[in-house]
Amino acid sequence: MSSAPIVEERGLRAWWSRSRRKVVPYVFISPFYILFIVFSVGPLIYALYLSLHRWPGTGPMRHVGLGNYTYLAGDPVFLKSLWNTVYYAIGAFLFILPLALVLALLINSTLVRLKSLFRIGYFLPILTSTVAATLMFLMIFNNQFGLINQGLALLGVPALKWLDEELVKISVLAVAAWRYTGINVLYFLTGLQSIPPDLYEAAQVDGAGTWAQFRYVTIPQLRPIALFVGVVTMIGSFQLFAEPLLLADGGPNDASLTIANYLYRMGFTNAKLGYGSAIGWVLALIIFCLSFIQLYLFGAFRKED
Amino acid sequence: MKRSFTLFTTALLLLSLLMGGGTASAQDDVTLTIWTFGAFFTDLYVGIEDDYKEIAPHVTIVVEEIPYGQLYDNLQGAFVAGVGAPDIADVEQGVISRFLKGEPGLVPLNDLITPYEDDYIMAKTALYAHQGVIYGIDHCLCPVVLYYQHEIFADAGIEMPIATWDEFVEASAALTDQGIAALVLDDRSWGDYYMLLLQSGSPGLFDADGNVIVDSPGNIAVLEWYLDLLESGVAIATGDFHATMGLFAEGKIAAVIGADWYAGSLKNELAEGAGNWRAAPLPAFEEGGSRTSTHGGTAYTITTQSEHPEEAWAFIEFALFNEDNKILEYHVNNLLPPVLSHLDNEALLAPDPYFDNQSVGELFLELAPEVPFQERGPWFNEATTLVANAVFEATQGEKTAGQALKDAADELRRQIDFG
Repeated sequence: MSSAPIVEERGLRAWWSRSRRKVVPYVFISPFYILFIVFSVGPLIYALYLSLHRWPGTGPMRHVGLGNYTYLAGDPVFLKSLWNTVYYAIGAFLFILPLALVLALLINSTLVRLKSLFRIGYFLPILTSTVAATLMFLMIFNNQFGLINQGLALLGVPALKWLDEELVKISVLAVAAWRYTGINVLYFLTGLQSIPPDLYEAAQVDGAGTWAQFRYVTIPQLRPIALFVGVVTMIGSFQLFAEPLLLADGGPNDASLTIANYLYRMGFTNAKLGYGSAIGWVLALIIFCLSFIQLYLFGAFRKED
Repeated sequence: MKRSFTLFTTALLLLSLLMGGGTASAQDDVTLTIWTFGAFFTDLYVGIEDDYKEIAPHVTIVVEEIPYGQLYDNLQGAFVAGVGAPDIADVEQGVISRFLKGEPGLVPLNDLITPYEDDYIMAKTALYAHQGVIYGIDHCLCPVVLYYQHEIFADAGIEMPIATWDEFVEASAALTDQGIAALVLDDRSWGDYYMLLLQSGSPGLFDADGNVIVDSPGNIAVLEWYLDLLESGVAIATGDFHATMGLFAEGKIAAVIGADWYAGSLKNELAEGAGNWRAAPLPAFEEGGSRTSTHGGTAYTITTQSEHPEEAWAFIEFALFNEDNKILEYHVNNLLPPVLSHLDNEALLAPDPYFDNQSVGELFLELAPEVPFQERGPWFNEATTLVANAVFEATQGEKTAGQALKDAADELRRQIDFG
């Protein structure tokens, strides 16, 4: 009668000594997966469930099927926030990334001295609190007493309303440029410094000038880092939250509101957890699709020859 | 080694169970947790803590100061999770509506405030009520007056106070001619418009049955009048608080409508203006009409998760209805007590050097019974976002007042139908 548990124990021990080498690595990496499942995958699935309901956070949930999504498609404020977000993303690609590349090329060139000083300069904005920086920009952009309008007045240019409907998105982009150009310079610089010097030497031997070297050596060699920077910038642009919120509270008249701001407004301020979750899922799908397209266009799925 | 570790762990567990049991058995000891959002409330609680300990030695007050915004996200999270809420939360009037949806996680306070209804200014419970159930009791009265730079008006030959808005507009022509705006109004928010709306006799953005009245003829008329003030140059919109303060300092703006706490803002931002300022009742919309409004407020609320709601109310009673405590609070945060019997306290009626030795307290005492009622409820956040946009569209000339408010009302009704 008492031999069964002993046999079982022996079996368990035997299994453990057989499998230990396979199991232990998984145990070591399990904290990440456990945290990922509990704090990322779990909420993601729960948000999907919530997005099919209307629920203010207390009381019974009301199942509405795809009702939140169909309402979203015709919600003028959501569509406005979508357009604003796309505007910021386009602005980031047309303004912040080229600026970062030019700065990285300059810093990488032999023309620039005191490189460590520049390194501090481009890394400082990332270390600065978004709130503090945005509040500083709030004063710079002040319509009446702001630094920019004071400077314009010295040049005889009439004051511009930087935080009004027409210009507020440009002001948000300027804050984003100040904050994120530096980190992108760092990425590009890493890419530039990893290009083997012998490629340039070979190009010079073949008679390639500065432009030809840039066109045929630098750009192709930067492709992997450019893909990374592109994807990160796109995701960052679509998740833009603090800058428009602090600079203009998404306004005036929702002119600077991003999808992330609208999600917060609906989910928290207005306690519409179901609708907020639907916005979150649509945002996630947009980011997924755009990342996929970007990866495809950059040839990330192509097999290496 | 393994066995001794197991024994040690078991002993630790037993010890912790015994200690836990010990705490639970001392039933008289109560810890009340309060969530608040600013030093101006924390300082009050810290200031009265010792006195309360003498009255209720078994109660320990734990104040947790959490940044505004984060406090309410945390509170909402606690209600969703069903655990983690404090006993008492200071809920600001601008955020209460989200907590009135579904099954509110706040304790109804009607029965508790009823004994005080002759002394407490009940209009200050309306901000935190839904369908007749009161969920919050305001710290403050927040009556609105006209703060003005008296020398500017005197130099222009304008005698203050002025009885009606029509007379104010007429008299202000003398200032407009000198390039001075008599008043400053917000062109991108709902606050100033809402104050004037309440003063006009409107219950606000909803009627007593919760119907949307954003586009009612009365509300449209007030916005049209508001636009007239801005277009005529009697009022100016600066777009932000610091710009307003700068223009006050330069003498380009003569007056502002604001609540009791606005006096604190003036003293902080324009300390050098001491003696230049006075306060007057708001000019009425018609002869004999209301001369005040209300703006702002923060309520004591008790959460349904509190295990000690009676002790929580006892503490609120002490903080709110003990006159010494309310005077202390006034000195800490410039918020007037919403309790009639406190308003004639000498400390509140004392001449104020900043206001040219005027007793601003006397003015507040006179206006307190006129503080208007209003209707809010669970859709107030949505309503104010839309009304702020409507005010902006109308002041920018993108829409007429009627069209802007009608569009806002239609969208609000659509959002309420959606749920």
